[in-house]
Amino acid sequence: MGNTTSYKWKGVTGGGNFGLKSLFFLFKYCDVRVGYFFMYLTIPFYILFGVKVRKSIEHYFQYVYGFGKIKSFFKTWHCYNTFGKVMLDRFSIFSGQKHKFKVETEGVDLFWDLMKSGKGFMMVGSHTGNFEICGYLLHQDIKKIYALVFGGETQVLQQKRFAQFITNNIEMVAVKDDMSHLFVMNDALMNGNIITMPADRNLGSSKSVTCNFGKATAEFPVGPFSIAAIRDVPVLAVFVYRLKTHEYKVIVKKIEINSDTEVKSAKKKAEMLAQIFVSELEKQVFEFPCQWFNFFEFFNQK
Amino acid sequence: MDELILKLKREIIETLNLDDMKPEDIKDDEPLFGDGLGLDSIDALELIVLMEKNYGIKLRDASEGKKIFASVKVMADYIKDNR
Repeated sequence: MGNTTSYKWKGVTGGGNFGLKSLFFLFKYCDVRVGYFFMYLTIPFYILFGVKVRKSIEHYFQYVYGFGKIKSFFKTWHCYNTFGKVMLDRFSIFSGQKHKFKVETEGVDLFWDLMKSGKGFMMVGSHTGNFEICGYLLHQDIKKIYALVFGGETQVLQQKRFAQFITNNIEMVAVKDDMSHLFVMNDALMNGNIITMPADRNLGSSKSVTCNFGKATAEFPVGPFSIAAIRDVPVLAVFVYRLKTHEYKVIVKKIEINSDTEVKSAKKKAEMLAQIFVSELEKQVFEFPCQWFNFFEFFNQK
Repeated sequence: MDELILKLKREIIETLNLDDMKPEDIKDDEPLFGDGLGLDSIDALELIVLMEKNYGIKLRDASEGKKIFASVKVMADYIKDNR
């Protein structure tokens, strides 16, 4: 812990405009389970031909949990199935089926308490389950939420997202080379609003810390926690998991340093917050092992 | 002006925790980002907050920010003209 190093994720999300439009059309008229059926048929192709991605998830099961190769292969298959369902649920929501989804919550009071305060805060997520879905399912009009996203996604996906987000007081902020996103984020926190971004993948800054995770280690970004430390705002971690068809669970945890610990520099505070977040994420991932969707070589074998 | 540049260099080193650097290691005209000092976007946010807290200057425009953080000398000139 504490070694600041660099790593990069390319920021590419798959899916062409035609395919996406077809899904939106399908889910306007059909239940999401129709989509699941077709999705099951495609999984073997992803398993067979997407070797690099498949290996990265198999390595996740091998390195983090210490599973053997065969068990890791079947867990990877299950992971693909769950990911497919999560993605299709998202498209179903985009297509106007939001009312069909139920959300179970845990710790959401933490969110509403901060909402009622005048202070801005950070909400960090992860590529487990479906972080984005809480943006569609939790309604509020108290504070504006600025969601930091990569600019590289397809236009159709961005437009659909925007249409859903705008009704829930959420604005997307694309990470740009001119650093304009930083000014938006700074202003948002100063004005008592909310910034939300993933904290398990590099987004903008390349600063990271090496953390233990199960039986492995990995580089986790410090950026989200640096912003919180610099502006001295509270941090909530939000985890969203798929329980079954049309059912999700939102778990909110406060990420804070013990009040007895004196931390002078923002850099040190950010690293400590990152470590606390990773410990929480580790607990969550061990409860929902097949909902880790960081599909690239993320973990190192110890 | 030289005093302000030196003060700024000390503040940058302290704020960004550049522990192994001294003010004389940062050239007045050296770019702060990219090939120069190699700062990144989070460091930029630290500098935005530094300008606000230490000099009462609120930067709101990204294009303006990029120009101001070109070097320590440019930062000092901007502070001199705007505080």
